[in-house]
Amino acid sequence: MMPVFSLAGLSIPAKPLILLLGFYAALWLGSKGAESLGIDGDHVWNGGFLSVVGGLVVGRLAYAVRYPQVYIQDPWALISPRLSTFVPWAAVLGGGVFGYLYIRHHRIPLGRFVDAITPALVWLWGIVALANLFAGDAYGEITNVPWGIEMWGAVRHPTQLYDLIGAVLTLFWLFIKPSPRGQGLWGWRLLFAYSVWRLFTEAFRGDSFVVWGGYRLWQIVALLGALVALGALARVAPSSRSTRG
Amino acid sequence: MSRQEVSSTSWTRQRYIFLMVLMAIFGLSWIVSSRVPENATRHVARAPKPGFLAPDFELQSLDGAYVKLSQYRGRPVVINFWATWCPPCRSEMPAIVREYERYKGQGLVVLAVDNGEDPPKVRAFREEYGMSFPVLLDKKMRVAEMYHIRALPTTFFIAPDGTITDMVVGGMNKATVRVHFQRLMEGH
Repeated sequence: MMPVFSLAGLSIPAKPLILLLGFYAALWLGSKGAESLGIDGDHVWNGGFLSVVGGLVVGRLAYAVRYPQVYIQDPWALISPRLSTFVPWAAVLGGGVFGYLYIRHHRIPLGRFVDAITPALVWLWGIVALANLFAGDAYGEITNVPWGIEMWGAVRHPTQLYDLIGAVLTLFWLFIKPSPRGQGLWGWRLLFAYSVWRLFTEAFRGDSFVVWGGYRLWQIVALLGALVALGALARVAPSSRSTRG
Repeated sequence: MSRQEVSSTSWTRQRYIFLMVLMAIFGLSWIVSSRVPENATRHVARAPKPGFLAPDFELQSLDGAYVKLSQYRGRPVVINFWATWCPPCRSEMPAIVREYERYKGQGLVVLAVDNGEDPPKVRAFREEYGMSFPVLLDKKMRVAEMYHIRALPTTFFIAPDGTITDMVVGGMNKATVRVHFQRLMEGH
């Protein structure tokens, strides 16, 4: 398991710290990508920080809504830095909404912005995989494959490494067969690659969120993501008739 | 995003649509074939992590009795790793005591595992904070090692079936303590 740092009476596990540093590097990468497409790099920094703050606020409020009587009695707890009292999915959703509103407010073309930050998003994919590997999160099913790793009392699929490999392969694919930048194609290709990879590797996860019938929820979401991405790519692709013509 | 056709894309619309159909067929087949069997026992392993069975241990309490975690199977259990010298342990203890008093009638068990300190010091702390639950002495910090404790306090919340449902590293404020105890008692 990863070490825990103590700072001013707060215990900070290394995973969020790695994610924070990785996110900072992603913002830097994203700002460089934005500048290469004629977008002010500051928009990535500002939008990124607004997303983080918005995500934290929404994540905490979603938690407070579930336990209103506790937070009514102790409203200061709403601004507590404790990491255990957030609803993660609400934080991600809230962060995304705040980021989108920032882009709209500044009239930045969405497709161009997404293409600009796509390499940074792939970087984040890899960083999350690495942080999960060290923290023992997102662990795999028990297996006897020769490349299995010892984790949580058993030999398991190294699902975090599968994710890391997926990020590296996606980066190669994006840069070796580049599409025109600025129309959102890079973003759709990333969504397609991530979704296909998740659809495949989720089957080896030992901590999948299982819904009725034993289906793994994230596989269903990933399949939908892959189909949406392909649909979007099909919309902008030339038809065979116009290609011949 | 632009609806304008991107002429430099090497794939035609028809090829993408064909790929969508293939994707749907193979994707659905993969989802069905990789379902988790209904009788699967996914987390039978014991590990100090939410989702796994809590590792069993036996320790001597401050009163001299031996206490085994597995003897409380069937009841919700909170294990709090702490030490008298640790300021966040001190600040969260009153809230833990309060929540224990609130829920003990419903079967809640709290095990306060002290990390390697002398009994007189631990006893003084117990008296100061009015801890009426078992205070266990982990003299050689064997249980702390078993639970991968890297910071004090660390608290584990264990469901009646022995599965760890939640884990908090570091001190908890009143609201956090209350919410986590409530979640455990509500069976989340």
